[in-house]
Amino acid sequence: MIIFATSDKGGTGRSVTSCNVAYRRALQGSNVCYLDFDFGSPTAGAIFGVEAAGQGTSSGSGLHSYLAGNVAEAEQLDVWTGSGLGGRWSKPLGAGRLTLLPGDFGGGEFPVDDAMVDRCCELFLSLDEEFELTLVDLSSGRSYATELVLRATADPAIAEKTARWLVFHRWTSQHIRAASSLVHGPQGILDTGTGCGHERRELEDGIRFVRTAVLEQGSAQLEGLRPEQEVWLQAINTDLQKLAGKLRLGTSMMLGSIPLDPVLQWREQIIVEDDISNTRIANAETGKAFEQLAERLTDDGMWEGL
Amino acid sequence: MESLSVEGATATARVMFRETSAVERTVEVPLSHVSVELGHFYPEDFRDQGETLRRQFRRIAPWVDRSRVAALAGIERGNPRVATCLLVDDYSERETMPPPGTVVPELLAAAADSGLRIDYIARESACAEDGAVPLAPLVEKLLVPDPPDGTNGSRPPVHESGWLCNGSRSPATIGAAMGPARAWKPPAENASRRHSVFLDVELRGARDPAETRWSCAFLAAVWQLLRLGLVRARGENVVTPVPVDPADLPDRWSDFPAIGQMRGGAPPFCAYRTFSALDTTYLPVEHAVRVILGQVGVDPTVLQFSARRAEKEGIVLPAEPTGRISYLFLGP
Amino acid sequence: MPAPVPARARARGTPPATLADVDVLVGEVRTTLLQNSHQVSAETAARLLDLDPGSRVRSATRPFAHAVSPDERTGVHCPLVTSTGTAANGVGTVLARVSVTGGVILQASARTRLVRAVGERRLPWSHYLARPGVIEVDGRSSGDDLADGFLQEPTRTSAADPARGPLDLGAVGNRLLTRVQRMPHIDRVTLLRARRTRLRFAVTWQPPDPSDPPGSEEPAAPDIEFVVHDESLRTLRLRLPPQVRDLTDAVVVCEDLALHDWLLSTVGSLVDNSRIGVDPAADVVARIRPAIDHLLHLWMPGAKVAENLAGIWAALERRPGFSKQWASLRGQIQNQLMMAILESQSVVSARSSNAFNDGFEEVSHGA
Repeated sequence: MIIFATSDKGGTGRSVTSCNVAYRRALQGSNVCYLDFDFGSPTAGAIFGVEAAGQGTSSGSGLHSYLAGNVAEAEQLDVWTGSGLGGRWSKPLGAGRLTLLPGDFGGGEFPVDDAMVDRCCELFLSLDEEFELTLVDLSSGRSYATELVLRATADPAIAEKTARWLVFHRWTSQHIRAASSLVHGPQGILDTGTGCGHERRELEDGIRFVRTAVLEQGSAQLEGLRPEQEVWLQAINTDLQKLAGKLRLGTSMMLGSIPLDPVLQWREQIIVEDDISNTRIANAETGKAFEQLAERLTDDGMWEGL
Repeated sequence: MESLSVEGATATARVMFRETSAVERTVEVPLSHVSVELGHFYPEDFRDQGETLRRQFRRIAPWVDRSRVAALAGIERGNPRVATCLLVDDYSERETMPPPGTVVPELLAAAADSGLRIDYIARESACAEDGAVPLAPLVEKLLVPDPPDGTNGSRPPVHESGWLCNGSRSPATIGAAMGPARAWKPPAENASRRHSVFLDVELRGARDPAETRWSCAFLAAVWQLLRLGLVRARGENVVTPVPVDPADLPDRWSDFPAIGQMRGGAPPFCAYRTFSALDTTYLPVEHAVRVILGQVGVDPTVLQFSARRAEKEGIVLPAEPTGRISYLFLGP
Repeated sequence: MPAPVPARARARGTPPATLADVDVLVGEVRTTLLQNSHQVSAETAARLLDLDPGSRVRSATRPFAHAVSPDERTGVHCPLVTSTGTAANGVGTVLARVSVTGGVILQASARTRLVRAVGERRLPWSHYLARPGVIEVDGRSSGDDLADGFLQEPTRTSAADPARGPLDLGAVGNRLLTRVQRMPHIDRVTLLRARRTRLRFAVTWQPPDPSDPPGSEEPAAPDIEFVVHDESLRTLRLRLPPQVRDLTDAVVVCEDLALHDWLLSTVGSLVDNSRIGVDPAADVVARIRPAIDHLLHLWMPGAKVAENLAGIWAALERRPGFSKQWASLRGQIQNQLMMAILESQSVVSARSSNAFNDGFEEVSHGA
């Protein structure tokens, strides 16, 4: 299965959430690979704590070079052994592989051509031999990366594979509008995908939204608010719910909701068990949200057509 | 399909086990010494009651004399097996080519006037896809492009669909946005001596995707390979001349055999070497033919068949197909 | 495959006496699982491997179903890595073929023979094309230098001139694998997730021993160096007795070794990750099941190997002991199967005596 992670705007926490989801999924026993298709800013290495590829790899065989046709194979880094996050990362019993395909250090956005689409197809197909889950983190907005994967997944051999999309957005009016526009708007994912040969309905059925940095009602962070603030917040939330429903990203289209957690704002990295239970710098709810999202990626009940 | 033979009935039996489907098999074809091409004919050659044809045959007759051809083939003694043939272009201008009933008798009569006999008449469409085996696509699949320096196998061969060249093309001068401006760089011929003669050959036109139009040069390359007996389809022979009765000719070229045998007892169609007598206008085409043939990956077993057979007759045959081809170019 | 004729050497004068002949067979085998929901029939395998309309797919049914594509040629002109760092450039062709074993294992191997180029200048392409599977190498490197250099992991950072990377046989084979995996005759549903492994090999020949009487019955033993570098890369260095000249046979040994090494690695990692002793045996068996269904019966080391090369397998069976490890894996799998049967029986008996509790549990689950 191929999962694409995208977002309307930057700063949604898309990459850090995707990395955490990949990590949780591997812990659950799946072989997972994570492809850094955020071509303008390839920093997945830093999130995983793989210092060798913090800002992209310097080996000259990252995804930028592979897609450009400069190297025959893209570099693969084993996160379990490569991560320097406190050295607590030996592969747990029963966990699957967790492999990072980094971008190139200094790599940037690039236009897409047919040969590149073909190489992208080959990459997805060969990774699918080895990994249950291929998680592709795309550049935000209407990007070349999105165009590339829409064209690649329209290839008959790839089209047989299940592909699902996660659209990340924050819980604000602007973000909701932008996320809806990214999917449904002109030159959005559905428009572009249809142009590439995708069945619009099928593509739409494979898209779900993930809310990030959400302030949950009754969460500890909301304690101590003045009654006026609480009422105001309630009203705003109701308005946002209405807006989301109207713009086709209501609760039924939502795959997960990641609570606001300071540790994610200040340290864009993987949250491990130790952060929750020992040092207690991260909230248990955050870990649960990642875990739940990881499970729901392949929970067909969550992906039934509406 | 499986043969099992046990040799010797003593303590340790030696087993020979073989599955025929597991073994490569390539057939041999009968071979003449030289295949002489008397010309390549277009519709306009048949508009003056054979005058053009008679003129062509009169001019080449002295050059394809048996002793000359024997010397060309490196035969010192004995009777050389020389098969004559010609190609009728029923492909590029299908509609305008007069029917076999007109063309064949005119050709035979004009050749006879100069004392030439025609053993085989082939139609060009059979070199494309109209024969029993689609030959042109088959040969195209055999192409192994000549690698420019720096080709290490990591990338698929640079393949401009439908084109083949003898070196590296001039790089595009338009780069990525905001990228550095690129100066023009010349194309380069591989293995050139200091200076290049770069050639880029069109193999087939892609104007109408529904119908592939093979280029004259590519079909001429297929023609040369057929005459050299170097084409096999799944190991099987693809050259089967069919006897044609000049008194009973079909109305359409599509009903004419791919290769018609015009004379009983003619030597085999395929030969160790080919010799073509052509108008100088064919010079660029044949240059292209050589560029193509230099990149056709002929089955090495097949190349060795003819080399070994020639050796038995005391003839040294070049290993490469291009080395087995000779020409005579005549000015207008 | 008939041994390719060496370069047009003799006709144009022999190289300076100080330079010994070079004759090295190098190659790389990539092994993976054919992406199909079940093992493919012989007919489908033949269609998948039908790369060249000029020749035919070869297929055998014994001792197991095996089909091989015709050789595909690729032209190269590039530097070669040497262990000493001496510069060497080669021009010629690489042969690659792809095979399906047991209807499930897909292998591609690319190989070429390195011989010394006679002149400094590159010849017309038709010269190299008439000698398929031979690369003519300039410079003064010895055969061992080229063989050892080929087996080195290319240092990625040393890509000083990205336009002139060294010979990459793995990529040639990989393209064939990808081509087959994209064909319409298979459904691309994965039986199990397995790594693509690569086995890089270099073969040279021991110099003839002058003390051996001609036609000596007892040929010298081959010299073997097999190294497992990581989860996917293996290298094999062979020094064969001078009598064993058949290149195809040598390639078959390497392909056979790659196949069995892949079986070991794949089934091994499946068993490793099946949570034996943690989860109930039935769950463990469910995880291992694809191997039981499709892979276990394919273990037949050396079955396709020519008799005069059988010694290579015999040596590898002593150390590292491929079949010993395989037997131990099989034993582990069989134990889990037994456990699963026992567990299911105990569950049945527990169920029958505990019907009330079961019913209660179901109610509480539903709540």
